[in-house]
Amino acid sequence: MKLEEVKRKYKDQWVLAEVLKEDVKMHKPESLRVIKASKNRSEMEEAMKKTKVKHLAVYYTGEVPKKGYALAF
Amino acid sequence: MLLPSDILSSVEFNSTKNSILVECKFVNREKSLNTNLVLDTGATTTIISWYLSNSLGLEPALSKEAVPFFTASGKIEAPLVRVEEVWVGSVVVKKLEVIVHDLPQESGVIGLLGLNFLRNFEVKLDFRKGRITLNKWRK
Repeated sequence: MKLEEVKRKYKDQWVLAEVLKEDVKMHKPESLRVIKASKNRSEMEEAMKKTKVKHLAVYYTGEVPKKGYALAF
Repeated sequence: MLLPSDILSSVEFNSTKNSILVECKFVNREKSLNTNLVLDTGATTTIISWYLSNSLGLEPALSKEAVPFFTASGKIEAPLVRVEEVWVGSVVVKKLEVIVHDLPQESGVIGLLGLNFLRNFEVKLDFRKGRITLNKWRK
């Protein structure tokens, strides 16, 4: 699955995926296999602890920042 | 004037959004992890979360280096670790120091790409085209 498809299918979720294929020049995933998707970050973190996959990707697929919020760190 | 050979990497970002998310790839101990970090020129050091650092085998809990740093909500202390490689597009910074700190879940932010990465390049942000260009330093 392409990253854009993952973002559409798992909207507003924390997604952990295996990188199956990458653009080797730009170091960007071209094909992903979703391991876990959840609205709750800690569920994605638990899946991350358990997986033995060596080439991972993690994304939050919602708006950053959420609508109506501002960011300051 | 920049010559094409000076441009090391050019990556896209969505300039209509309220933060600049940059696709990054971390490589450490034969593991890799792709994610989006918020580009933050106000962050002195790149920050990644505990779950990312653990999955890369960085073992922040065992780090002997802790860094006091100021956030918007006050002063805290967090482990400092070194990542073997951090890639943005086709450019890499090796042995990059990163602070390990979880940003609030509600923010949706996984980490910050800070000055210690950016200062290795001449950085051009083009909001019209939605592109970040990382160039060689001009002598």
